[in-house]
Order: sequence, then C-alpha cells, then structure tokens
Amino acid sequence: MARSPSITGIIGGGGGGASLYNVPPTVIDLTDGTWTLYDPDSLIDTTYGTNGVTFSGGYNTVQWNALAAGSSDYNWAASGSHRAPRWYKNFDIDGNAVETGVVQVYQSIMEADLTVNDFNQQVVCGIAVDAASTDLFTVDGNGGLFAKTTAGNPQYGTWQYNASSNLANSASVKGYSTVQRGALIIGAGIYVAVDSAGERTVNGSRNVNISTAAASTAQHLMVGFGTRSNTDTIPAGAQQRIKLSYIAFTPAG
Amino acid sequence: MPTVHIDQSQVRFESVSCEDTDGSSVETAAFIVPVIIPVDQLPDWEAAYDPSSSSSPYAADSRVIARAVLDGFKAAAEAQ
Repeated sequence: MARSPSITGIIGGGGGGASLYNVPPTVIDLTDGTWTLYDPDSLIDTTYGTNGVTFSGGYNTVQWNALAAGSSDYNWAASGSHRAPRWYKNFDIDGNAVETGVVQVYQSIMEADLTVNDFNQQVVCGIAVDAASTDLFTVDGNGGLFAKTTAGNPQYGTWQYNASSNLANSASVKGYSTVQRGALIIGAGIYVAVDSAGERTVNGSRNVNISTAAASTAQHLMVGFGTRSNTDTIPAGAQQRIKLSYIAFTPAG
Repeated sequence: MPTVHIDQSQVRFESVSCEDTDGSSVETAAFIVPVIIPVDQLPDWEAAYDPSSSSSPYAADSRVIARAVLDGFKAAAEAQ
C-alpha cells in the first residue's frame, strides 16, 4: 500500500522526495489484512465479506447485525462510552510510530455512496490513542465525520472526542476534514465538503479541550461505524458504503 | 454591572452533537454564539450568580448576557 509522504522524509531525505503538490492520499481498504475489527457488542455481521466488510470500486461496504435499541454508545459524537464497531491499525508513517507527543496533521477524505441508505448512519475516520477500548478517554479520538438520516441530506464534518460539528447539504459529495493533534492534546478539526464540481458546499470547525495522557504513546488509525443519533436502531443486514482515504504527516523541527 | 462580548465573526449556523452543562446530550442544528467573558469581569459575574437560587442572577444582569447573545444571533440570522 502506498504511504503518505512524510514531511521529515521529504525535507530530510535529500533524494528528491515526493512533491507536496497533489499529494495522493492513502486509500483505506478495510479488507487488506492490515485492519483489525473491534466490535464489543458483536454488531457487525462477520459472515459478510471479510470479517463484515467488502472492498470494491474504492468503496468499503459494511454489513450489520440488528441493533434493536439505540444508545449514545453507538453514536461516536455523543457522551457515554464508545461501543460502536470500528476497524483500527497502528498509526505509523514510513515505519515510524506517530505518538501522542508529536505534533501531527491528519486529513481524511470521505465519500459516501448515498444509494446505500439503510438506516440513520454515521462514519468517523481518524486517529485514536487506543481504538480497542470502549472508554472515551482511552480512545481519545478525532477525525472526519459523515452522517445521514435516511430522509436527510448528507452531513460532512469533524468528529472530536465525543462531539461533532457538521452541516448537511444536498449537493455535498465528499468531505475533507483535517485535524491537528499531538503535543499531548487531541487538538481540533476543520472541515469542508464539496459538490461534484469540487466547490465548497459547507465548512466549519471544532475544538476539543481534552489532553491525552502525560506519557507519549503510539496511536491507531481508526474507522468507526455507528448511528447518527442516540435513539437510532439498525435492521439486520443493513449496510453502509463509503470511500475513505487519508493523508498524514509530522513536521520536522 | 458586569459585561460580556460576542465574537461576532464566529457566530455560525451548524449541526452540533455535544454535551450540555449538565452532561446531557445535545443534538441539533443551531446558531452557535461564542460569549466572551473578560477575565476582569469574572468576579462580578460569579458574585452575581447563585446556582441554588431560582431568582439568580438578577434580571438586569441576565439581560446583559441575553441581549448580547440575541444581538449576535439576530445579526447572523439576518446575514444568512
């Protein structure tokens, strides 16, 4: 898999490193064997595809078991613990673990297939200190967010810890969200969604006033799936389909 | 009487999911109006408010915040 070029590598490599213009994002393929599913309540139908997900045409398609009773636990942008299913893997750049103590920039690019519209859904794509936990402060996550009610317009925005800021627009086809975190804080995120011509439909930002633990630790890349609201339920066999990619770097010096 | 300010250029319409001051979930499309409470005004505001009294703060003090917030919201709404 192609990696995002690191600023350290480009400036310090001395070998005519990759240009920072038109940087190709790393495509997220949840079936490529590098991602681990953490699903504390067994909500993903793991008989579907590769452990619950398929990858085709750039889209990850996830299939659910039934969620009979909604809860804030399955809404990434709500208080309570994080019990929604997520895929994760170590966050490294060029083999270097990107720790919580290092200033870092991460941009997610999310493009949902709106024809797959089975329930009031949400997807987050970002960084977590430890994605294999249900505890908010252990997860310590932020990144991009996509959400949609079955009757509503697509919402793109930014997910920060247990909250989000986003905007719905019927013309939005893709959402870019950039977070700056590290230096032992979760940081903040900005977002812009674009239409099919690449022009802005909505934009915004959100800060999160949360520090990570005092000791710098390795982190995870994380893709979380869930419900848009605390009371939303999910029928068995419901799916979500979305293209996901990211660019990440750490500045030298 | 203590004062507050509004960061008017940062008043915006957005969908938010967050926690209220009592920890309850808030999920709504809303105008977000940032209220600036100058540090030198904190003692006066703290003295003006007793959370255990339903009549606190006084109406005149409350009106300072209410008018600032509503002016911020109104200007942003009219600009939309």
